Amino acid sequence: MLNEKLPLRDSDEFLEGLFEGFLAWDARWRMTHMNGAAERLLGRQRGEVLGKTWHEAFPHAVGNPVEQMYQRVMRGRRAERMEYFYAHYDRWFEISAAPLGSGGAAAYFRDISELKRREELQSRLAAIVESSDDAIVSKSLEGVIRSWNAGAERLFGWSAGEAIGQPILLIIPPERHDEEAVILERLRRGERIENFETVRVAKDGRVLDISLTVSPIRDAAGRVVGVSKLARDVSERKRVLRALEHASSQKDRFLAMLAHELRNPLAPIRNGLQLLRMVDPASEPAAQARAIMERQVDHLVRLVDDLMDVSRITRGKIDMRREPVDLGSIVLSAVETSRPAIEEARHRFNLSLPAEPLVVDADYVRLAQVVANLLNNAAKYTDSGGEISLVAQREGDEAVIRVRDNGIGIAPEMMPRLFEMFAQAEESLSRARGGLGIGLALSRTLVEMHGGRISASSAGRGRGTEVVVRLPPAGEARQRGASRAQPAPPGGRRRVLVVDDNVDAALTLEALLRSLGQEVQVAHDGASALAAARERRPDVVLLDLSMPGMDGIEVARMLRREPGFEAVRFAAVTGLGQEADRRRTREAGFDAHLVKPLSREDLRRVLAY
Amino acid sequence: MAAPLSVLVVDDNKDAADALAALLSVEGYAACAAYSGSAAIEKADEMHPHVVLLDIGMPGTSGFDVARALRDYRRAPKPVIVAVTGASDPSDRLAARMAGFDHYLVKPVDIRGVVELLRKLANR
Repeated sequence: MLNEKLPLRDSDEFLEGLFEGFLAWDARWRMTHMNGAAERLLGRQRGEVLGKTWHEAFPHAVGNPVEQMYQRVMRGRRAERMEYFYAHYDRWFEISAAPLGSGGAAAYFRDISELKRREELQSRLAAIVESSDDAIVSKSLEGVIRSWNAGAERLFGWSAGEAIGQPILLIIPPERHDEEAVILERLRRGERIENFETVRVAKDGRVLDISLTVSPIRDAAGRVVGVSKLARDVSERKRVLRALEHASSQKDRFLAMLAHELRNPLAPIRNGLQLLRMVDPASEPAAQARAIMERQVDHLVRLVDDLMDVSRITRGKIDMRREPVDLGSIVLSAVETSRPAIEEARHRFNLSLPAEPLVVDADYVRLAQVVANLLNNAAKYTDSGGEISLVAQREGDEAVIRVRDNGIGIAPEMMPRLFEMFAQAEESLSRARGGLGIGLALSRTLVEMHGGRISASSAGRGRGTEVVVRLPPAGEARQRGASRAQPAPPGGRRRVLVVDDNVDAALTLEALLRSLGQEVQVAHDGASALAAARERRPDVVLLDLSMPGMDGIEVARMLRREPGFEAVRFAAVTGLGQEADRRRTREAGFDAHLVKPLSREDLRRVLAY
Repeated sequence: MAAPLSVLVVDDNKDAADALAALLSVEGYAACAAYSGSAAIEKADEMHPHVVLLDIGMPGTSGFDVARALRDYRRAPKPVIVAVTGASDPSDRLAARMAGFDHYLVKPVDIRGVVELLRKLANR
């Protein structure tokens, strides 16, 4: 502040030494002083200014806030200071004005444009830092946190108040404390660290994958005095990346496996062709070769069909034709499909169907495919001679299918990925059980498209597996419609004798008949069929035609001749459905000719006489 | 060639085993097929094959298990054991060597390759 008593003339030398501009005027506003700095700052010569009144010298400033301040200083005799952007000079000035003893006033001013620019930059930067999604943190070289933005609060969970003043180790997991020393060492050398991927810990203990960019903070002399860190949460990116890598490696494995699976049938086909070239086409080996090739081509076709399903699933292009159907008949159709696999492995198979029709709103073919898939898996992943059971029943509102085996089970680590595409229990190329690893993924998709759920449980390796499919009940109206479509057999409860040397086939048929409310007895060969028939006098006899020893036709002929069997209905159950086959059974005295696999409808017709 | 070379073909893919065995029969070998590891060991005990063509990846008793069992075979002559497998990595070959396999064929095996190998073995 200028001393009012200072004689201005004596201070000329002092004024010339100032960096600030200096102006003074007397009580009548006549300009009395202007120093060199003022000349430079205002771009005016003393000669043009001194002797004029302030208003004459600076007409562009008349009425502006600076002039108003000068007026106040002149009137109030009190010093004032302000910052003002002079559009005329395109600069910011800081201006101090003080009254002089003479009744005039003096002003000194400096150009603060650069300062203002920095301040603005700084506040803009501060706004950016605060609004950034990334955590931006600065710390001293000793590792003490100095600043902590809102992004850091969000990412790490510590508020700025909690974090500032704490060591940065607050967010570094103990096993990474060394890392901090390495980073600091590199920074002391003035290096910048970009996109350094590491992990940090949040307040609640969550481990975060982050990408760090670390830069040194220098003082005016260029010495590194601190560190600024920009931490970006890359947990999500990492997760997506890991998922992508997993999917990609699974696809690679799948392709390797696919090649393997497609190649397997080729050896017997090639050898079969070779054999056909070498032997008499009418010979037994030629017939065998043709049978082999047919089976292996069928196998290839199934593989390719599965592949087509995978492609339809991944493109979301599976068509569903849903209608109210009886779950029991879906299950039976699936059992027929899977029977060869179950029988080949000599598994015991138990089937339990609901006593009442259990109507679900389903695509018959697709749901049967699911159930067959589950049964095939059970057969495949159970060593020979195992036990497989299928229970279909109502549980609460839901229709539930449970497929259980006592096979190799599922390792707990496999469980989470069980229903993923291409996941398989055995992933080595020498996998013994083959398959594409798409069955369960396909099943899950199909079950979900039915509005249902599928789950699996296993007590672990070697402890068997249970897969459960739950389907929502069919809508009320549809259920009524369905029960009209499937009336109870008009004949009411009948005694039925099932004769089949294939124990599983007999049991399946038994379950189906019981679900239709019938009284069922089972025999597995001709002799015991005769004995059972004579003892129980059945209303209906379902006879498998191809049994070793006494076959179905013989059993029917013998019983037909006995008294008391005139009214008994005989139905032939056979895989052969040609007209010649039907004629043969008719001539043998059968009342009906049923072609496997049997549907509930077939049985209703036989029972409804 | 005096008595024909006897060959046991083992593969859990029944068709693959049957086709190869039938073909070898036509080629003049005494060929037999088995469809599991345990059946292969029984069959080998019974027929004393000169050569066993053995699929490695079978459920239950694997080809490795069979090879080990046949190596421990007390009665001479010990059969020549040939691995037939879909896996063709060097590490798989090494594993096969260590398990006692004498030769290694990658699926799908070509009958000419098998016959050539059998001829070489017969001439020894």
